[in-house]
This record gives sequence, C-alpha cells and structure tokens, in this order.
Amino acid sequence: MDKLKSVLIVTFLCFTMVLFAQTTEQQQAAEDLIVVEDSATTAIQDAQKAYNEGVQAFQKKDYSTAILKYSEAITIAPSFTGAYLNRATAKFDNEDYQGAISDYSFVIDAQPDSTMAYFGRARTKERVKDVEGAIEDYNKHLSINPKHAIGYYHRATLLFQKSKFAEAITDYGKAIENDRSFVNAYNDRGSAKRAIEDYQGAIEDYRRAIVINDKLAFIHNNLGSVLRLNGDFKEAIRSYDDAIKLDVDYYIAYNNRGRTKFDQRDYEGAIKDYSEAIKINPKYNLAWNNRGNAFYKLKKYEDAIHDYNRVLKANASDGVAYLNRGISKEMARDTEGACADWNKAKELGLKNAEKYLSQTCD
Amino acid sequence: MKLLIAVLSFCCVSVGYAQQNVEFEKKNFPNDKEGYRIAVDEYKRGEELYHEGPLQYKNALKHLKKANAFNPDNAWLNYMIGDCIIETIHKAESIKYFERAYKLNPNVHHEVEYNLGKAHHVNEDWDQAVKWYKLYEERLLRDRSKKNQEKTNKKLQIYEKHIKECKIGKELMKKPIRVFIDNIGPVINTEYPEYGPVITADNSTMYFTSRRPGTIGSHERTQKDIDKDRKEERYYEDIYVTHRFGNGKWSKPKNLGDPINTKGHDATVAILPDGQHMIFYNAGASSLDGGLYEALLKGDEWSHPEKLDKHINSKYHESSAAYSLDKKTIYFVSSKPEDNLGGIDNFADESDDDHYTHDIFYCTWDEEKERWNEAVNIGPTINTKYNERGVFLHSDGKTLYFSSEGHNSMGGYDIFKSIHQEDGSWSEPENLGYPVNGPDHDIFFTLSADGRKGYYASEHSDGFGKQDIYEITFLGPEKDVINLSEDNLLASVLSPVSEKIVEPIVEVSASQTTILKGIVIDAVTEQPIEANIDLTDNTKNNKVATFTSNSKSGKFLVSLPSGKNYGIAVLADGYLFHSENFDIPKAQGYQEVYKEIRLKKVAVGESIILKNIFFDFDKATLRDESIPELARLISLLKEVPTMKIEISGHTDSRGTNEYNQRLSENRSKSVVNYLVKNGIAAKRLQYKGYGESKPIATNDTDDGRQQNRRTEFTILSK
Repeated sequence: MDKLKSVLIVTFLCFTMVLFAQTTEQQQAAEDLIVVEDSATTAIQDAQKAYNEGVQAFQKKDYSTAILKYSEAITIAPSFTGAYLNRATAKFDNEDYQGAISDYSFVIDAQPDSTMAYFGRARTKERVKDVEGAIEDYNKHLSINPKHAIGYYHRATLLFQKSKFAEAITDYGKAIENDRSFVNAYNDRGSAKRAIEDYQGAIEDYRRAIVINDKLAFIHNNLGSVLRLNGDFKEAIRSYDDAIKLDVDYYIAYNNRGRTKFDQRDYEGAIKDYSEAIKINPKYNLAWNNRGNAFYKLKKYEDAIHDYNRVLKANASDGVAYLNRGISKEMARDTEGACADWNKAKELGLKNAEKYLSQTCD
Repeated sequence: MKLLIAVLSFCCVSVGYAQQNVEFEKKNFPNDKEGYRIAVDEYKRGEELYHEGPLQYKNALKHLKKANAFNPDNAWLNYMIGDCIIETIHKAESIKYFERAYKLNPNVHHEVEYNLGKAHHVNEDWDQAVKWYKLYEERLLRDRSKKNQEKTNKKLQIYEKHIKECKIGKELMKKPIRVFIDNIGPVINTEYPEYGPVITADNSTMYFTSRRPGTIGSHERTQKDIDKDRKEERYYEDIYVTHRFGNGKWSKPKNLGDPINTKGHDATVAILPDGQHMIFYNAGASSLDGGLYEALLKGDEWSHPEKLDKHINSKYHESSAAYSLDKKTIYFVSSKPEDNLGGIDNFADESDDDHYTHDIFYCTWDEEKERWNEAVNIGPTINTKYNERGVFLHSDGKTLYFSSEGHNSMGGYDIFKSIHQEDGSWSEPENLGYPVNGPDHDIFFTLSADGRKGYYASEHSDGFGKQDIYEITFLGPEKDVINLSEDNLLASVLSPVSEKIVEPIVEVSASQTTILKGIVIDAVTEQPIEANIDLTDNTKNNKVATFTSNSKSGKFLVSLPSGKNYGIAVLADGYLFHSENFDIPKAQGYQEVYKEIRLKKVAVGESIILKNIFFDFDKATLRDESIPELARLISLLKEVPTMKIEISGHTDSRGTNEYNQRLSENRSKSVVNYLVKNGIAAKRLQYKGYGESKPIATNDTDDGRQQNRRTEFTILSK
C-alpha cells in the first residue's frame, strides 16, 4: 500500500507538472507511465499494469480502452486516485463529461487539496456550461495554488463571458503576473478593457501581446477593432492589414476593415473588403448585411436590397437586415415594402423600426 | 523677324476680332447676302416680340435663335436670348448667352452683370452669382450720379440682399433636408401655370388654381384685355378639384364651375381640414367684386360665396388666408399700408399702385359682438421689411407656414414655419431648407395632417411648363443603417464575439395630430345625416369648435391636436346626441381614427352612453369637465319637455359587487341631482345603479374596463 502511495504521488506530480506545463494529453500519458520496480503484491502489480496500459491507450487517443484499463486498475485498487484522475481526463476527451466530473469528485473527496482535480473538474464544468460550478472549482484550485496563471486565465474567461469585466481584468492581471509572456492573457485583458470602453488600456494590452507574438492574426484584428472604436481609423486599417497579411483567409478582418472604410465614408473601398469576406466565406451574413449598407450609401438601392435578401434567405429572423432593407426600400420608392420590413424588424425587437413606422407608414 | 512679329500680330488681332461684337450690318456678311437677309428679318421680328414683354419671350426666342445661328457674335442678340430664357423654366441655359453677350460687349446692357448674377443664382452656383453681383455693384457705384442716386441706392439694397441670399443658399445647400420632390404629373399639370394647391387634412382632396384653356371667361377675353398687361397669361385663373384614388394617383381635375369660378380670376386660398369650407380669391370685374371669399360645401355643391369681413378685405391686395382650427382667428396676407412693417416694396414695379409689401395680419372673432375684430399685424417675428405671402396653418393648429422674401431666404420667396407658443408668441421662423426651398420663388405651401406630404408650386426644368404643382415627401432625418462586426476577442474561445448592436438615436418628426374622420348616419335607415359636431376641450371645459358633417355623404373630419382631452358631441335635429371622448397625450404621434356614428331617433327605450361625464376617482362627485355633456342633456330635456328618462350608472368588475353597486347608484344619483338643480323636474328623472352587472366590453383589459365604467340615459317616455 505504501508502494502504491508512492506510485500515486509520482503519478500525481507528473500529471500536475504536465497540466501546468500545458502539454498535450498524449505527452501527459507518456510521462505518466509507471515503472514497477518493487512490487508489493500481485494485485498492485496488476493495477499498475492496467494503469500503464491505460496511459498507452490514451496516448493513441483510444479513450475507450484507456477508460477500460483505468477502470480495471481502480477495480483492483479502489483507492488508486491517480487512475481516477487519468480516467477523468480520458472521459473528458471521450466527451463523457458527467463521468469525468464524477471521477474528479472522487479524487477531491479523497484528497481535498487536489488542485489538479479541482482544475480538471472546473474545465469539465465549463464544457457542460455549469459556469458557476466551474468558477467555484477554479476558486478552490487557485486558493490552493495561487501562482497558477492558467487557472486565473480560465476563471477570467468565464467572468468575461458573464460580462463581469472588472473581475476578469483582475484575473487576467494575475495570470500575467505569474506568466509575463502569457500572450493570450494580454489579448483577453485587452478585450475586457474594450468591453468597459477603456479603449486606451485595450490598445496597450493588444500591443503588448503583439510584442510577445506578432504572428497571431486575431490579435492584430482585435487591435484594429479597438482602434476603430477609438476613432483612429487610419491605424485601425493598418492593423487589419497586418491581420490579413498573416491570414489571407481571415474574412472577419476583411469585414472589419470594410466597416472602418464605411465609417470613413469610403463606401467603394468598404464594398471591396466586404466582397472579399463574402468570397472567402459566402455564408458570412455580417458582410452581406454590411455590403448592403455600403450600397445604400452609394444610392445603389437595388444592389443593397439584393444583399439584404441574401441575409434574410439564410436567416429569416435577422431584425437588423429587415430594418436596413426597409431603409433602402424607402429610398427605392417602395414605401409599402419598407413598412412591411420595419414591421418585421419591430417584431424582432428593433426599437428604431417602431419610430420609422410612426414617421413613415400608415 | 519683323515678318514673324507681323504674322503674330495679325493672329492676335484675329483672335481679338473673334471676340468682337458683330453688328447685323450688310458689310459684315459680304459672302452670304441671302443668309444675312433672312437672319436680319428673324432678328428684327425677335427683337420686336422681345420688347412686347415676357409673355412673348417664348415666341421671340424662336426668331432670335435663328438669327443667332447665323451671327453668334452679336452682343445684344445674345443678351436678348439670355433674357428670354431666364424667364422660362430652363433658366440655367441663359448663362451661356449672357456670358457671350458680356464677352462681346461688357456694356451691352446696364444690367448684364445683374442678370448673370441672377442666372447663376437660380442655377445654385452661389460663388459665381456673388462674383457677378459684385461686378454689378461696381457698375452701380461707377455710374452713380446725383440724378440717379435714389434709384441706385435702391438697386444697391437689392444687390446686398442677393449677396446675403447667396451666402445663405450656400450654407443651406450643405445641409439638405431629406425629401422626394415629385412633379404631381400630367393628369394635373399642363403647359400652363398650375399653382396654389390646398388639401384636406387626410390628403384625399386637392384644390388648385390653373390658367389653362377652358377656364371660365377666358374665351371672352379680348386681345385688348390681354395687351393691357403684358405680364398677364392668356387665360384667367380658375379653381379645380382632384381626388386621390386608393392607389395614390390623382383623378382628372374638374373645374369647380359656378358659383366659385367666375368670368375673371378665381384662385385657391385655403380649405379647412374637413374639406367643407373654402376660402378663395376673386380678382373682381366679374359676378363677384374682388377680394377674399368663403363658401361651404353642402352635399356636393358649393354654397354661394360670401365675401370675408371688411377687416380682412381692404382696397389693397389680400391674397392668402388661413383659419385657426376653432375658426375664431383668421390669418391673412395684405398689402395694406396700415400697420405694414415692410413699407414700400423695393422689388415692386413702380408702375404698380399697390406697391407696399405684403404682411401677415390676423383678426379674432368677437363672441359677444359676433363680428371680427380689427386686423392686427402678426408682428416682426414673422413679418419682415420684405414680402410675406402664402399663409397656411397646419392641422396641428399651431404651426404656421408662410413664404417670405426676408428672414434667411436663399432667393425669391422661401417657405418658413413658425410655431405658436403657449404664451401666445411665435417661434423664430425656420427655413424649411434645401431642396424644398431654392433660389427661386417657393410659395403657397400646404402640408397633410400627418406631416408626410407637402405640396407647392414651383418652376423646375423637368416641369410641363410654367408653374407646376409638386408633391414633397418628407423623409425626416436620415435613417441610419446598422453595421455588424465581430472579433475573436477571447484567445481560448473559437467563436467570435459580436459587437453589441447599438441602435442610433432617432429623432421622430411625425406630426402630433389625430384626425377623427367618419360618417354620421341614422341608426335604423343608415341614411347619412347632416349633424353638428361640437368639439370641447375638457381640460378647459369650453367648446373649441363646431363642424358639420356633409349633408349628402354624412362624412366628417375633425383635426385634434395632441395634448388635450376632447369631448365630441354629435347633434342633429330629432336625434339623441352622441358623445365621444378622446384623450390624446402630448407625445401622441399622428393617427387617424375612423368612427361610424349611428344617431338614434328620440324614441322610448332608446339609450345613449354619456361619454363625457366624469367623476372623481372612486367617488360620485361630478367633475367640472362633465358640464358641457350635462348641458346637452338639459338642452334635450328642455326641447322635449314631456320626456322622462332614467340615468343609470355602471362600473367595471374590479371591487366587490356591493361596492360597485353602491358607487354606480351614487353616481347616477349625482347626475340626477345636477339635472334637478338645473331646472329639470325631479319627477321626470329616475336613477339606478347597475354596478358591474351590465358590461358592454371585456373586463380583462384596461380599454374594456374603461368602456364598462359609464353613465347612460334611457328614454322611459316622451
């Protein structure tokens, strides 16, 4: 039993190190292999063997076999927490989230200070959209391991998604404190700052992220967007240009650059960008909608209506497209059509549609 | 070298000659004697017609252009052509002729620079206009002498005004208002002048003035009459009517005929929102002796016109008028010198007897003396030292539209609006903006009750000739489209995050008016009834106005400006009155409400709801706003002195049965007490409370509950 304990400690340490280093599961399994040097009993040997086979199967992404083997180890040695931890990971990858939560919970019950189990369960709870449960587990995990940058990062992401931007910024900050080269944390903190309209702070964070790694197109795009929101259209376009250079198929950046050109009243330029976005992703409704808007500005109402039609064909409950199409129809002298569109937009919750109806329609 | 200089000199001289004035002299055309002979004939004929005045400009142009084709380098010929064209709808085309005339001879005419300024001005080429007006100023200053000083000073004032107009035009053009301006089409517009459109509040009927062939009396007009005033059109003015079809198109216009149109000039001035009451202008020298007249629509016939009061009509020129909604105030335009703020009209033809500026005046109705009070000038907020014309009061009862050459006009008359404030003053007039207003005359504007459609007469190059009627669709401030964006905001989340949709703040410019329209019919026979419709302001407890439903169709239309609680009573002889209540909050936008009012004969067993009887909340105390309704009831009981009635009270279903029963009984008793106190014998009156036992609508909605809370009366015997 003492031997098993020492094996588990080894396993735990390895596993912990693996997770902390953010290596892949396969690597984790490889490093998790246990060399049995001095078997106390046959049963322990069998449990260790099954455990090792589980790790090997996991390496091969054969999660079902891995789960089977870890289960075998657990059957032989029911308090083998390392096997529980690894089975939880295998179950997670096998998309058996409830099973994973159950295994992590077993480990937590057995070892209430198992930071890895809390962390793993938090990740799993994220998957099943149990945000509150996930945050609770991250809280526990971070109280035990307050230097874990990734832990802060994950909790920050959840807080961001709950629109708790100030708390998210604090967590991203702690992630950065513990890992000065944590590029994603800089990016995400920039996004959280953008959400609270601290555009200058956001710009600084995105720029720091780019200093760490200038090959990530999405960060250049995010920088472009916050520059646009801050009214610096020229710099915004430059950032979108950088994003597109890094990823020529980055249709989101094309759409955003188009929008920036639209804001600068360069409607022809905007149309070019929107068209490029549409070419890359013909199902990208945002670009169809926005191109319609640019056509509207150029008084090409029929072209605009054509683009809005495309949006509405793909999504008949797009209130914005109805509202925008109504505006073009009015200018194309189709008041009846415009009113019908605004009525639909009103039904779909667009407040201005009601105002347009009262102003223009019977 | 000398030879070269000589050649160059010759070339320069030739070029110089190419820009020189070439007179129509035989010696100048030695190689084409026949061509010269024809061209001279055309020139002379054209010049002759040109001197006959603007009515002949169209004819003059045909000849002058032929002469110009032969000799394009005659300054005076080019000037005449320019002068003829500037009087047509294609004004901008005059520029090239004036410019050529000026190049050939800068002294071709002492007003050539002025005309070039004017031509660029009407072409909305503001900077060029200013340049030429300034050259005109230089000429005026250069030519000023003791002899012509007064005249020159007057011209300098005109010059300064035009410079100001150009500056204003340039600014207004930078911020155009969003409108569609459409020629109303060939069904209404012709090659002859059409103008002065007036419309009913619901935008269903339009009256306008036309000077087309077929106007009454025109065929009797002698050449002598026409020659008397060269500025006059060939045909008299007559009033026409057109109706809007369901598809928005207008019907073929019909001449209103006798008794409105006479063998002289008859022109539209105003139509009341209900379309039953018209004011028009008659120029005299016909069966009417001239001035502003009014007529009522009885069935489908107009009554014999009656001349407006002497305080309104004077020996001067009254051309435009508008009633307030209660018909207790009339606004009108007059050029009478008394109280005139503008004084002598600098722009007027000096040969005109009537050359004071036109100002807007108003008269109020004296209820006690039953006559109009003396006219009062509306004041300097509206009237300027220039002309104001074309007054129109919107169906909202407070927005006055008028045309003015003053204020910040961009040239000629521009249309302005001013709002009557609660303290009785008028707001600072606001230019309706470009392109509704342009550098030329924009006048006689009228607006539908919903504020979406305006009409006016204008001269556009795409018109059918002379003035045409145009429809303006007001689009309001630009409607902002919504753009969409998203970003990969979170590095660990694959799905992009959409940018929050922020709907731009939209100003709503909808009219704040309710149009109540409908039909009054007999409840049994369903025949239309001519009924009086009394409009009461319940908050002030006074009768605002009385309208009449049309005797033939039973139709009526009442305009109810927002911000009041209105009581409406429909009364006709031999019928029980019908009442309605409308509470229209201030922020209520435009709405049209249609009501079919079925009047019941005064007969035993008939009952009506008294919709304008109000009690204090949860009490049986009658509120003052109930007095007009109670007065109607008293009047009915006095008219039929043998009639016995029951007053019944009803509640909604909220509260206990006992409470509702008691409240309804107390309320009906209050009404009876009031009637007794006001001279109705108690033995003729019964009261009863029915509580919630007789609902007429659902008790599940506010509207239903409101209908159920009511006071009724029923005729027990007559």
